[in-house]
Amino acid sequence: MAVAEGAEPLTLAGEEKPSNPWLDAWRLFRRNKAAVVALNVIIVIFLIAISAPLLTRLEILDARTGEAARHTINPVNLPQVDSYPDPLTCARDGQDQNPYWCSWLSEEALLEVQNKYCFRPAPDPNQRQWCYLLGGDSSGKDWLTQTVYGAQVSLAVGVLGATMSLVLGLIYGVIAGFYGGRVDNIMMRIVDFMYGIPYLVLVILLQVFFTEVARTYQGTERGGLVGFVLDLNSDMGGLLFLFIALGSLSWIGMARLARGQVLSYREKEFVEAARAVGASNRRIIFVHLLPNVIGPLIVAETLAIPGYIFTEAFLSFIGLGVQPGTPSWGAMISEVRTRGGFFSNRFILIVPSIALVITTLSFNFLGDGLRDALDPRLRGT
Amino acid sequence: MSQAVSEPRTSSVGATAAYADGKEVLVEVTDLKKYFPIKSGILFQREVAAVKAVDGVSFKVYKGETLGLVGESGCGKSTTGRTILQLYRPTSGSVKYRGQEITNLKGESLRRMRREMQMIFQDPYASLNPRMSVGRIVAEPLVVHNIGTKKEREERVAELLEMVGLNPYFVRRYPHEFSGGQRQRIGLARSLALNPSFIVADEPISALDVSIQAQVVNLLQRLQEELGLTYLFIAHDLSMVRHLCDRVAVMYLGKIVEIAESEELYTNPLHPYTQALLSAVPVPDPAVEEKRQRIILKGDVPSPINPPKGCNFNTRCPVSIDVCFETEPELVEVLPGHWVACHRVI
Amino acid sequence: MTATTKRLPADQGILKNTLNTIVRMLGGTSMIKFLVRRLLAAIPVLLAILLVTFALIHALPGGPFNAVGQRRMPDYMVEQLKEKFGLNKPLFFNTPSDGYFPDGSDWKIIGYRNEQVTTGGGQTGGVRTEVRRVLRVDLFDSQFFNYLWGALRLDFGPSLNVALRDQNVQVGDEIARRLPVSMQVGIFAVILGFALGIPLGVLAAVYHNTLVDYFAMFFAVLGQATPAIVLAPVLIIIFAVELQWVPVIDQRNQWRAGPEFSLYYLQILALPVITLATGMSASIARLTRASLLQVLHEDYVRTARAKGLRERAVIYVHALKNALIPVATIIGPLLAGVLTGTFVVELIYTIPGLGKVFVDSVAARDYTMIMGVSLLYSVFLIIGNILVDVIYTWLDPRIRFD
Repeated sequence: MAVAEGAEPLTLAGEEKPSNPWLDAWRLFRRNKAAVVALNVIIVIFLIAISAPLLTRLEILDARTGEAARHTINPVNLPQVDSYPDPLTCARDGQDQNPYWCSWLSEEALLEVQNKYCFRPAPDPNQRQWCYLLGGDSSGKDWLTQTVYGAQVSLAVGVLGATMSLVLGLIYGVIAGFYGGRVDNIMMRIVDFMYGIPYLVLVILLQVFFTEVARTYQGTERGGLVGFVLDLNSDMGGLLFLFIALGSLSWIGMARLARGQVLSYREKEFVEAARAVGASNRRIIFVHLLPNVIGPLIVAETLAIPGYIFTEAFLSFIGLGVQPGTPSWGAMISEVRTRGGFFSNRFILIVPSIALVITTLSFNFLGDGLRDALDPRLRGT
Repeated sequence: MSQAVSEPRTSSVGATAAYADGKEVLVEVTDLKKYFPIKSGILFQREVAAVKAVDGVSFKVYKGETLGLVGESGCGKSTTGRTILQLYRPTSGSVKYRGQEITNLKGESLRRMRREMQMIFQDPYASLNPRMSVGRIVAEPLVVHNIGTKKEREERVAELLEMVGLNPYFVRRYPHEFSGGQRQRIGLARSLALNPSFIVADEPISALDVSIQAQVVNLLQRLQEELGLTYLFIAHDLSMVRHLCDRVAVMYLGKIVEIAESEELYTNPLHPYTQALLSAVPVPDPAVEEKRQRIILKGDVPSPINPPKGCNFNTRCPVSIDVCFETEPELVEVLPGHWVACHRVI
Repeated sequence: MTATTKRLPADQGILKNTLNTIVRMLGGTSMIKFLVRRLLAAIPVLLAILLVTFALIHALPGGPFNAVGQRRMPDYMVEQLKEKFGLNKPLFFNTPSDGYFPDGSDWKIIGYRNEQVTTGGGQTGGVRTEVRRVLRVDLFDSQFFNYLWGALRLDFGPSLNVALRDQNVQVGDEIARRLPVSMQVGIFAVILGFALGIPLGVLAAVYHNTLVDYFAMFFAVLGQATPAIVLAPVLIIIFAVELQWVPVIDQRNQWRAGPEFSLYYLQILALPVITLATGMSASIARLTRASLLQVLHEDYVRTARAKGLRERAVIYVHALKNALIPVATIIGPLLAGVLTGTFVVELIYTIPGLGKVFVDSVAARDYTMIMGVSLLYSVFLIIGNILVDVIYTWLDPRIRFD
């Protein structure tokens, strides 16, 4: 059959370039320079976080005692010191009063520092030396190492927290919006109820509860699911329970958004067309609704990431975040404050602060870029 | 037609049913009702009223014909079309396709039925999923019904696009790159993919430019001839319907007030509502147009939640009498093939 | 209306008119219905929050009389204290356990009931009916329901904190003392947030795509990305430690004394308020800019320009008024933000407000105080949420309450 009855001219804009909504979104995203830079910064931070064990050794967190500090639950056992190791000084086993000024002026010195002192134990196991590039805290833990490992906590909390809340909210909202009626009514009443719970109050109560449970069962053998969860949480440095506490309420906003999106698309004619050809509910949800619904949700969740990072830092700051001994930027700032650091060794504060601000700033810019690219309501404005 | 994907049609549906005047009845709608509940309540909602969108509609569609369904917006004509296709489940009444009752079909048998009846939508911008390529959109019915291999589907999609006057080269394109008329063609290709015999066209041209409307109407007519399709053509204005339809049914507030063959209805409208509608259609002949007298209906359409007692039209009817406020008129055949529901006609 | 209405006594007519005026001011009967519905819906929410909080804090190990970091007391003293504060009662329901008949000391006996009991039958055939006296106990004489009954009478019980319980300090009174402290920070921060944010946003929009715009927006994004726990130490180091313009800690108990026109009050207020207002003003500035930019492209602004009005008049008279409407919608989220924000700021600056009290009482297992503060935060949050919806409707009449 030939083209008939003088159809309209079949010209399309941008003939050469393949066009597809996701590709278009990527093109729009790339136009936003700040967002692209932010994405790269996040990738670098992510790489630093996952390669932290390669860059620096966790054992030297606690250089003075020579023990790995990761599972130290009770920091009270660590030797109390009234002075901080200064930046660019080195500590030696048992000889920490002997500062060594690293020189970054000559290449040989740099090489020497890298090979011999910084990050890795020196080849001679009898005389280990570590260099405090950015100084250390009162218990002799290396500040740079803590910052690098702190990126793990912040990124994990931000990205995994956001993913968890996105998935939970999406499932909940899509079910409520798609099935409607009584199901929707009851599910949304539950969400309305949870909207009345003060977020920080619940998070603090849950964290106190989890911390106490973890402390009670610390060191005791415990089988079954509870034991498994406790062990897992301990291995994650307290992150598991933190996810649960942070995720306990954060999904409800996402559920509302997802439901609203589903409601607006559910009555669209293309969904009706799919139903008219006999598509199953599953196909309608996964092929027709999800791809259209997910854009604004991803944007909202990216913009929510700084919030998770703030909350983790704040909780660690008041001692209710990660387990003591697990490096976290919030805990580092708290460390400086509680040991009177605001008066003595104040510039050491800058390191975790800048790390925090750069990370959250990047996620903000990334979210803005994604919004321009993914939220069709704002496209073209 | 590609042999691989066209399916024998006789096996899927039951025996051929009643004949009237030697014509085969394809779809028979009897006393169809669709009420939408209105809910209210503080915490838990309960039903307080119902919108009577379709309130007892009966008609037959003969094989190979085009039946027009005309009425003002909100009169329930789209709901009728969707309820026939089981996109909405009817509140009561029956829909028979080739003599087989389809309102009680579920699951697999309903899915099989959907291959026989398809729909074309009003809004070409909302009826295509913006996240799917044209190829995927047109192939979706085949995928859903698991027809053919991937390659056979691609061939069928190309064939369908050509059939509706689009270049098969566009399969990788996305809907936002097309104009309204082109999108309507894509939607048409999708609904033809399963070789249906009955198509409900829900105002398929009213969202298009006037210049493109004629093209799409011509395409619909050509496809009807080539594929032997039967249309239920829903429209809100009578002028386009006359050109396209064999018979026309006029709806008012959830009920059919008049059905007749196209020419008969236009030359001899019997129901006062039809007369009023027709008086609004401009006539191309200036001499006739000069004499045309518009019947202006007073008032608004009453709410379908609370339709008036007696005849639905009594609130606006220029010729109403006492009985119109008491009893509801039946749809009666007053002339051969011309049915009217009005106390003043009988 | 019949004639009787016309002959109403004068004072009743006034009453009716006043009522009508109030209804109209609130936004009509639909608004009143909406408010009543939302307030009614809040009751089960608050009940559930009480229940959840209660269950959570009682699941914590330890109690108010043997919390971590307190001097250990002999067991008999703990028992005495428990009895004094009613903590020896069951948590939720006062049900007699099987085979155990309570005596007066453990169970609140509310009376006796006569019950007919039929015994015998079977092989012996001797059926006997006797009347037994059965002890009735109060099912709701439990910690939770006693608290609930008290809370309904706005009696939130005595604080269990070691420092307060000996002086018999009531939770309600303590909250009433601490709430104004938190509110000082919150209110001043909101004021500062608007005072900084709106001009910044207007500036950025008026000088759209110039250096001014870029700088303003860069600082706005930076402000949003800087958490209080970063900003606060930086401010403290600069202004309290280095420049010594402000004290690090309030030594004169000024927070509790409340607002006054003095340099010292300004000094202790400055840093917490700036910390809290930075994030707020950043959001407000971005919103103002976006909204004003949109309005400047509207037809009526173009008309105003076409009339030959001065650019300044166009922006400040025609555009800004309309651009600020969406900005007003931020008040809702802002209220929730203030709630959380004061919490964080209080802990960082050791301000004796509600947030500080809450964290301290969690550590001290001060059950009554935790319940009281949680309840108060929930009430604020629910009122804030209702307010958001009300503001939206006032601003956009198209939204209706259904």
